[in-house]
Amino acid sequence: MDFSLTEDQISMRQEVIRFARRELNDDVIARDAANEFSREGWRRCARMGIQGLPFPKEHGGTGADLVTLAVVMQALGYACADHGLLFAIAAQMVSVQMPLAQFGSEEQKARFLQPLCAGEKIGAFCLSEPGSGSDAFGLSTTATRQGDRYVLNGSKTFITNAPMADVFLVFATTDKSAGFMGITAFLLDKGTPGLAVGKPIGKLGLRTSPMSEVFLQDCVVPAGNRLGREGMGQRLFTGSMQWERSLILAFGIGAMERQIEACVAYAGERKQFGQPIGAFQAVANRIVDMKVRFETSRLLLYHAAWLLQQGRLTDMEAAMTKLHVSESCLQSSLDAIQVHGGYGYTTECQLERGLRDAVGARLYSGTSEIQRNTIARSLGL
Amino acid sequence: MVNVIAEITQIIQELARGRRIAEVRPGDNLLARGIVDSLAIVKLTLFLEERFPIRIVDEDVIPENFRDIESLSRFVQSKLR
Repeated sequence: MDFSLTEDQISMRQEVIRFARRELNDDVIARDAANEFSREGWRRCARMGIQGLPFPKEHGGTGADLVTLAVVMQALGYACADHGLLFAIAAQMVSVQMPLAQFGSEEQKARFLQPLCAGEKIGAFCLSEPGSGSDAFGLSTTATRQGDRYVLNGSKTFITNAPMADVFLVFATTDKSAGFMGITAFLLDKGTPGLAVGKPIGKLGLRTSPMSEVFLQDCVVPAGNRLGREGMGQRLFTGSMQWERSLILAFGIGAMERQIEACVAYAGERKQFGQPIGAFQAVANRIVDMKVRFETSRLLLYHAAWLLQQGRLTDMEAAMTKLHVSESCLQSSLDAIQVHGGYGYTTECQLERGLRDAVGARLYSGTSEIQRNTIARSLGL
Repeated sequence: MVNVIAEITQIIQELARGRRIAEVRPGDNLLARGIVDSLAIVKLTLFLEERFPIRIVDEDVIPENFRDIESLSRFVQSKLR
């Protein structure tokens, strides 16, 4: 068993860290306060090859393996302060680009996947509805076939990237009597008549990654825009969920790494009662626990990425990764503030933004409760 | 055929009980009633692969094969041939 990274992965990590520090960290506090997405940051990441990293070269990607993707996203999370931007990119990769790469026709890949890899377009995954969140397949949006086209009606909510998206991957029911097997996915261009995007929804964290509602009213979509065959929506969703649950929090592990470094440095220089606060076991033990959480999260991430690359990742492993990493990110963010005391509570210190950004991790891609349900079911409970 | 139907009926009844559905008849739509949903399909396919010498691939997971007990039995029988 070899746990070491390759020389290419190590040098790529260093290069990405340099890139992120140089190109992605301008005005993050102000943009977070203004809920402002950085289109320029998105373009810079695309020029660096981030959005296309794990996708085939013939469709504009780099063809990197998934462990390398995990290493790169972790490096970005470590060095880039704009985690809304990283979340927006990761969400597009795992839930829009991945299904396109796996199920798209050659024409669809040329039309949608290539510009998404190049950063020319932004994609949004439209599944959640006001009445269906964790029960993802309880959706009520319908798609009615009329000759060589479909007519979509319904509404979606909490759609990451929707306010600036050019491509919408929309899930709708084509056959109510087939339950979850009656769900079909469609690719919609921005500006399609009947497709409307709501105002950005205010939120606690990841504020530089806007989300909004999406409305579909008698929205006509050519049959050629269907992704996969009719009823394949569930398979498409399940596949992207495996990517999402195992990989989307790689940047959060980078944040944990940065928090530990900040805490060690602060605990070494901040003196109280005549000694560095790191000399007090209560403080040191907290940082030790952060380190253990970081290392276990990293192992789970790399293992899941490796299994996914081999086509051997199970739902249980994906759920365990998502559960452990999301809970660890949140706890690590809380601990980092605690170690820094009053300073950690300030906006300027930037740890409070890390905490706000981490809260959502326990909700998106399936709540921690849903991950536990999946693990319990896999254990036969 | 009788054994296949009996085995399948048993696992379907078990899934239905988990959904607090008291009775399932052979022609009942398992998908529309939510007895076979995205969670139950994993348990069901694993059961079928363990109980019968068959391998279920992604392409098999379509409404025509899982709509009711009868279609499910026909699907398993076709795999056994």
